Amino acid sequence: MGRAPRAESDISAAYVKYSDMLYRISLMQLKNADDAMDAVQDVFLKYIKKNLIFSSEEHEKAWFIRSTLNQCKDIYRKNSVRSHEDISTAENLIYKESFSEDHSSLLEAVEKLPEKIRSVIVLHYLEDMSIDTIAKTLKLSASAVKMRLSRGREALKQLLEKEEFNV
Amino acid sequence: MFDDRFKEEYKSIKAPEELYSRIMNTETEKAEKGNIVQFRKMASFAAAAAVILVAGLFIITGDKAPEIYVGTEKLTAEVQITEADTGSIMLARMNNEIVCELTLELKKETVITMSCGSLQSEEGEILLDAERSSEFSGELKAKWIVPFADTADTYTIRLEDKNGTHFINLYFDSEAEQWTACLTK
Repeated sequence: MGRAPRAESDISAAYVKYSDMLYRISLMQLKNADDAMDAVQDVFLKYIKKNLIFSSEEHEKAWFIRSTLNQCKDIYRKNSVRSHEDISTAENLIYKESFSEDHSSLLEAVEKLPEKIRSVIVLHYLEDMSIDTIAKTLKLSASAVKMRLSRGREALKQLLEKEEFNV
Repeated sequence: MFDDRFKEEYKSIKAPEELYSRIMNTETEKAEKGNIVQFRKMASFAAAAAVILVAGLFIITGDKAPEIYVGTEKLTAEVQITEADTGSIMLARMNNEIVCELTLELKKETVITMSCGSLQSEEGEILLDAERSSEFSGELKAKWIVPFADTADTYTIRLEDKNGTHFINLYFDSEAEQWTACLTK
């Protein structure tokens, strides 16, 4: 006998809890609003279809974050031969207007980071996740997370210094 | 580096309002479609059998998609191939150069373009690089060499013939920590 389908109240509770965070994480990975929406939609559809039972809220959150990052990778791969013009419409980049002008260089620098490093930088510095929580979420060791954070900080420093020099 | 104001600006980004209804509408449509499909199953099977019969006749006349092998492993839309699966995806760690041994069986004249690196014959002759496209048919055995490969990037070979377009993608799977080849259309 199959499990009963997930109740709409559960779905809506999870949506309220996680959708903003997952959308932001997707934006940082995919750099356009359309693809970020697709990523979050696909993750929630998986959540509804799979109807998994989570041992804790922490476990559920980790599942959502990991699934979102994986979904972003899939979308990125499928779109790898799409032209730059296809994604760079004003609507797709409207999220950048949330940032003030003096923060645009930092945002750009974050978006230039390699995906593996960008995701831990975003989770730690912007989503306020601890190193241990990130390690558990991404199934990495704490030292691997620390290494990626350290490389991320160094890369950001270099990117920002280069930007200052070019200005 | 990330001051409180930057974090506030970042956290001010919210998921678009229409996203929830998009999710629920898709889910509702899927559920409704599921009921309709159940009801039409018998007719669908009969129709599918007829299509397979016709397609079988069509295939006999020789209209086939390209077949792609990484080493001896066949690459399909369902099957990805990693470094661990085959010795035919190799990373030279000193200079981050990836070598992927490919065999392409091209049933039709196929225009091949690539995003990065070069295709080299077994004798070391450069057959194709990212600066140009070329047309091939028949069996092509070549090494796809990508110098200074970056784990953040995906590298692509595009195969276009009159039936459509296929993409061989090479990317770094960060969960498996392996370079991986996959096929998309």
